[in-house]
Amino acid sequence: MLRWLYIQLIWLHPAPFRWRFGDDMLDDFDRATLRDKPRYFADAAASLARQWLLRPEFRRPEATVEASLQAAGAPLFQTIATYKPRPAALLQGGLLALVSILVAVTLIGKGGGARPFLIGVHSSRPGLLPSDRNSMAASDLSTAVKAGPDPFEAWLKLAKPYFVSMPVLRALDTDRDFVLSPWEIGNAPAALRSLDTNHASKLIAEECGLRIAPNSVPLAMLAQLRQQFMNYHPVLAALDTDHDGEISDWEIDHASAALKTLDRNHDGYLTADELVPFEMAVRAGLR
Amino acid sequence: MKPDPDSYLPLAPATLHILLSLAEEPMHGYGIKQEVLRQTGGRYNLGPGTLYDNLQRLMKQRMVEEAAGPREEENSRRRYYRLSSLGRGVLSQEIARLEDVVHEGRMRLRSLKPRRA
Repeated sequence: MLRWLYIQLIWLHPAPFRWRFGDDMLDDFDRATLRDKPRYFADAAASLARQWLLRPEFRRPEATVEASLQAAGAPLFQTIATYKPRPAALLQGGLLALVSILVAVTLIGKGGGARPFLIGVHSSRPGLLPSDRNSMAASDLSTAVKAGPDPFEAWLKLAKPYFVSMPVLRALDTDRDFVLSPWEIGNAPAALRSLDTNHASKLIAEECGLRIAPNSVPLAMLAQLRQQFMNYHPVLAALDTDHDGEISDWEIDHASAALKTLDRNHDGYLTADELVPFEMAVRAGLR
Repeated sequence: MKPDPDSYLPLAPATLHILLSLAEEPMHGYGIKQEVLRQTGGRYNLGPGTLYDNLQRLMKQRMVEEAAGPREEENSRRRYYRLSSLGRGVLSQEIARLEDVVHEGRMRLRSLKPRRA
């Protein structure tokens, strides 16, 4: 329960911070003793407020709706207003969240303190319930130890549908083993160019796997959807180095170097745990 | 243009301790936290939010960079960090500045001592 709450706090951080440090924060939390955990919640809540209010320079610039509309020559009356809460409201929300978490943590901490309900006696005595040790000797050992599920298999199970649904990963993973080897990473520019179906020397979100019916959403919302799609998937976020929502010709040429930034354990290979989005792994119980 | 280490001084306590922790060898975030605890005799307990916020800023300023972990931890998911040459320069300048402060402080305190009759 506490771990789940902490994951939610990490999840509320801005995507670039969460993507880079989320795993490490969770690992630190796992290593902390139960007594220290409330301090971790306070620290995470403070970090949340700090990242959103004081660190705008580390967040990726979001494509403004007006800019995308003007670029497309669309009339401005189609603009969908982007609501941004006031900083004071964000601060109040952060404080409210902090108080709620502290209350929850306090209640959880007090949960074990309730007086046990005893029938017949108020204190136990050794002679009250005599144990017959002879019966224990005669019984057979029946305890079975079962090993938990193999984490590698769990990641593979998650990776298979994810690789199939992502054209970029399908193109990169030429040997279909759901791992990007050093050779496949080196061959990334050629693999990505094979996805450029309209020969525009760049890849847009639809060519990278965004499925959306033509004319089903307003143009302004489409720009935002494309941006969110590219930011959500680590492999696309890494390839789109200038975060403009598409993979340019230059970014395709430098795709190998960009992909290597995802290699967290520096073993030269990109495995499912380095490619699957953080939120997806959390939902699958792998984070 | 190469940045001037002096322009980053004086360092905040958290920044100073993080740079000090990384001066000897690359470390992961939890290792830095433990090292800061050791350096300060348990008085300064960096929370993960503060630690990674500082690391984010130090990487942006190119004082710290990501590094490969030790061979025995190749399969670990942890990221390792090390000092860049700029970070080492900034740390050296800060230590020199602190030495001056300590020297000045000692001089002044000595002059305040009551003299024996």
